[in-house]
Amino acid sequence: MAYGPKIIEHYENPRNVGTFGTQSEIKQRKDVGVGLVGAPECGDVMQLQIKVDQRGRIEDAKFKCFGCGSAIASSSLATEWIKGKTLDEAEEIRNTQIVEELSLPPVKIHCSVLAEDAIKAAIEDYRKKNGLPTHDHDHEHASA
Amino acid sequence: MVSPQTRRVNPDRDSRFRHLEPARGYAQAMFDPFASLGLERRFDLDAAAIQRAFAVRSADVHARDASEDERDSTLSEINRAKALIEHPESRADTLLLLLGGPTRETERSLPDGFLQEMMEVRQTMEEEIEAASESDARAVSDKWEVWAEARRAGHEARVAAMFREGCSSGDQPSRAALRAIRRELNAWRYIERMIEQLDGGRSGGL
Repeated sequence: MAYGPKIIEHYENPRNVGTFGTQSEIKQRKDVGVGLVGAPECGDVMQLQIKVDQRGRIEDAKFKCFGCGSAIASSSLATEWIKGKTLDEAEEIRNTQIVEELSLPPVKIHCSVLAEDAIKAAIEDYRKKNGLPTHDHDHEHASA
Repeated sequence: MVSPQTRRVNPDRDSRFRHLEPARGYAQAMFDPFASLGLERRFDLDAAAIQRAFAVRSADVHARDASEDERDSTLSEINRAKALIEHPESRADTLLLLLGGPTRETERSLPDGFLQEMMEVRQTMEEEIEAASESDARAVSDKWEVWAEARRAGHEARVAAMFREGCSSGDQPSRAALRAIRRELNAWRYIERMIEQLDGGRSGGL
């Protein structure tokens, strides 16, 4: 299978790998939201953390992904894209954009879905921690 | 970049991508590999019984007075049947679909706390492998393979018990029972993935 240069670059040099602290530290921190998602189809696990400033912008993001290179590249790209965005702006990122940017082959599109889900889950976690209204994304999963 | 308003594409739910993984899900539900091999439709089958059934069916096909095309077609079918039920995880997946259970795409749930546990285990495993010297790395990897094999055995035993219980009355298992089996199978897939990656290196490629 042929992969484009962007996906290979992100796979070999993933951006923003890591966490903002231990699990118990992160639980206490109200400025950090965590999204933990998985894909039962392939057994990949992805965790994405966002650090939000007082103006409601994502000032930093980290990820860890145990999965294939496409999942690693998708989450690496996602962390780059959400930095500097407001929560609402970050929530607008769609897996189709990741697919296009990385030229993901059709059999790896689920990796981009995982990254989109991780962003949404991290935003929801941040909102819950801070008593902000949360959005129901379930309707977006029911398509076609 | 495409417009942010572009509708999300999920290959598992979008008919344009449905043909990409025909081995899992839709097409499978229409083909009964147990019947094709002349086996009872159940999970508790040992490898020897499957191999025997395959050998008997293969011999039948070769002995049959049929055209080459017909023979090839039947052989292809029984090869496919064997491939689907040879591995216990695939056999469970196939049986669940034949019983009308949910696909991985429609029932994505996992046991409570499972993803968090997987994240922590994978993290610990990676740290230990990275910290080990070249000569010790294999031993560390082997240790985790033993761990994963034990988890695999646990999932297999639970799935076997769930199928036995669900099918014990001879009736169709309840929807709740079928969903519970899928949840167990979803967790099992993560363990299989871990074993594949331990066998194949860091992440199993792109």
